Amino acid sequence: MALLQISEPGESPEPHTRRLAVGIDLGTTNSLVATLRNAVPECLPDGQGRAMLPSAVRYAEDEIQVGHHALAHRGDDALNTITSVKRFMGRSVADLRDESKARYQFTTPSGDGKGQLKITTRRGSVSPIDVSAEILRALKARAEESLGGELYGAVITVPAYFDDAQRQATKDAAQLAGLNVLRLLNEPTAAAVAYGLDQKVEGAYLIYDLGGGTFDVSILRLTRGVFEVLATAGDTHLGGDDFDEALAKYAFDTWQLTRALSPAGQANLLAAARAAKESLTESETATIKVNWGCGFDSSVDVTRETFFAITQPLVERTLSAVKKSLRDAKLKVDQIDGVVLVGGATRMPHVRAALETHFGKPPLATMNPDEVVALGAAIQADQLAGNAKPGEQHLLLDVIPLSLGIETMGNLVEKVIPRNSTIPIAKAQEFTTFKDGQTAMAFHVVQGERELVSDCRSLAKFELRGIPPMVAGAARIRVTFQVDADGLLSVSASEITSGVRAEVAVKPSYGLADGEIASMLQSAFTNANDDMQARALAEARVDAQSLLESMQKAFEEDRALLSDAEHATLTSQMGYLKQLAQGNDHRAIVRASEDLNRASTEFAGRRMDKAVQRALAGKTLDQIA
Amino acid sequence: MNNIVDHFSILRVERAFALDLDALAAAYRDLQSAVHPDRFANAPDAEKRAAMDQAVIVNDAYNTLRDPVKRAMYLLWLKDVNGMDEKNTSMPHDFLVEQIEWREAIADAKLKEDVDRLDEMITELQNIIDSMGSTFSAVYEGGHIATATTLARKMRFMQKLTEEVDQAIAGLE
Repeated sequence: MALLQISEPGESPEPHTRRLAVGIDLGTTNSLVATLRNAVPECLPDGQGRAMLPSAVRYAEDEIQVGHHALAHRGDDALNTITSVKRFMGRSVADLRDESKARYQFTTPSGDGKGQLKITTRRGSVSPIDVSAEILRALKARAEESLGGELYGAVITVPAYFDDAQRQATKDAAQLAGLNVLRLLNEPTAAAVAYGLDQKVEGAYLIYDLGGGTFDVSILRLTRGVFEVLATAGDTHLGGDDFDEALAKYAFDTWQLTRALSPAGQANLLAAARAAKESLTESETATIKVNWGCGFDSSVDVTRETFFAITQPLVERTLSAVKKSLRDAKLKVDQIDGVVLVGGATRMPHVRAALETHFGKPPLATMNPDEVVALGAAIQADQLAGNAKPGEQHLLLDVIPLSLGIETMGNLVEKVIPRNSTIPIAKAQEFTTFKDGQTAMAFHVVQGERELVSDCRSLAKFELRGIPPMVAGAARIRVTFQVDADGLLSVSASEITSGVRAEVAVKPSYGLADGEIASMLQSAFTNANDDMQARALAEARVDAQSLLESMQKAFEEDRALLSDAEHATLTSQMGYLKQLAQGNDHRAIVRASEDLNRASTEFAGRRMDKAVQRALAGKTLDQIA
Repeated sequence: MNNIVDHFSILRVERAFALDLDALAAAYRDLQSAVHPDRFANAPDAEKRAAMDQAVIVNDAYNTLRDPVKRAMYLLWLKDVNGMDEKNTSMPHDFLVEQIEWREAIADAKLKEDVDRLDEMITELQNIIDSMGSTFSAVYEGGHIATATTLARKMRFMQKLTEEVDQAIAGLE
């Protein structure tokens, strides 16, 4: 008897319509993938039960190895085994610190040290985007095998303090790995979601996220399913790696080695330092021991006290960011209801002690600090895939970490969007010409807090041409910044009196152009042109189907918002799309879908107005104010 | 100008300087729960764009109204006064002298690396802005727009000082 299968609109979809969605924590040292099973987030382990995949990629003679296999060769094949690649995302050779420069053979496309750096391996030069894509591919394969189907999409986490170039590079890597990116989510925000929903807490929480290579602190207010980020601060060059390096330097100095280490020696020393650091969490002393080969080895004992002393400056740097975030959120330490620890490096006892002293209460470590980010991302992925029931939905209101601005005369930055503004956001600023008859204007978009352009990160340069000649100061050039929910920026400029326009998505020097991704994907599918065609057709059909279903649902809910003529037009366009979707011309399907989307813009706007009305319905001014 | 869709009517609070900030935040959360792009992740593109537009409008309204200085400037703007215009009015002499004294005090504390003193300054400045806000509220409601404009500009000067102290602390930590 199937008669009782009545499901109300908006109720949980049938099991077979549930979309496979995952959260991915793409970490400096380790990466994880998680999903929601029976409403509980869990990390997906590999065949040997290990949830963490070392973020290491080795370009071997005959294959590309990822994870544990790659990491095993960090000592004997150092130049071809890439670790901590996250530190190079969206970065140029000029950005590298001296310690990093020695690790690999870096090249730069333009030769001037600017632009996304590349690393030379035996299999040619690879970009950090390529390397990250290998890690993501491995996690995608693990998830698809474990869940038994193709993934609908993924939420990828990034450090909250990542700038636009680093975010764009991450998104490019995910697309290169064949993932549908549902959202780039800030790591501390993801952790707050996992923690907040698991512990069912409300109030102001500070997320202290010390990962392998990055440090973030975010303050959130949790109120009835809404996670509102009040402020974020951090340092994308501070993490557990730095504690390893401090210990390695201590050992190096103690041994009074006279020569600089080879990349292999450096890798061995760092691995030994890391092992010592980890054991100092439990024991009072540890030994750093390195076998240099040819019968030589060195060792030194380190006490916990010494380790704390040499790394205390690093802990102090994290506390500065904590204080900055509190000032930005306009909160005092006693107004913070809890401090949540995220990231493996927060296991170090002196980090916990410093936080306890600062906040007057012990930090919260009820969830596994290695997994909490991936778990939160999985929860968000499930919701964005449309699997969550309406009553169980939560909402994330995140911010941009760094101010966005534009270069003005004299190497100065005019801020257009200040840091910690809630996204999505759009802001316009007006500029004018400074010469008579000026017909073009150059714009330089930068990110950062400093006043001088040279102290900020350059994101993009573009030009507005075709301005009608006028006297200086007469043209009205409006520059609009828009930051979407992923935290990604696009900028457009137009001259108001003439309507001349220029637009850029901000990704020229670091990310990949859209065409580049397409061609890289195509080369990944070499000899498989038929596959590509089939895939494009399948995707176009799925998209058309989902659009038609959404429109049908919108009609059922809001037919009253349309005149009969409007309804008839949309209905006929839907019929046309439905017909095309049965055929094999994927371009025609895509075009008809776009047309239908365009035609329904007005209807969508009316539906949105209605949603706004409903949100505040039944509440009079007195009740709200 | 009562019929335009201003930030106050978007967030359904009375058009006044004195606001219940908790109610404002609650209305903001309710609205974002309805229009945030995440709610439309699987919707057709047209609805996604409409959601994005609405979310931007709501964020803009909230960012303006929750900050006392922006709120004051916005109330003046609703009366066709641009309080941010530097050419608008010259500031009273004694106020400018006070500004110089503040700057000297900040520079002095910065030189002595006295973070505690700088922290105190932030609290003091905040209190001054709050009390100027109360006066602004009364003067604005009383229809004395010119006086209200001067007050709002003073508040903006004080907020700039706060930002300077903030940067001084960040530089020392």
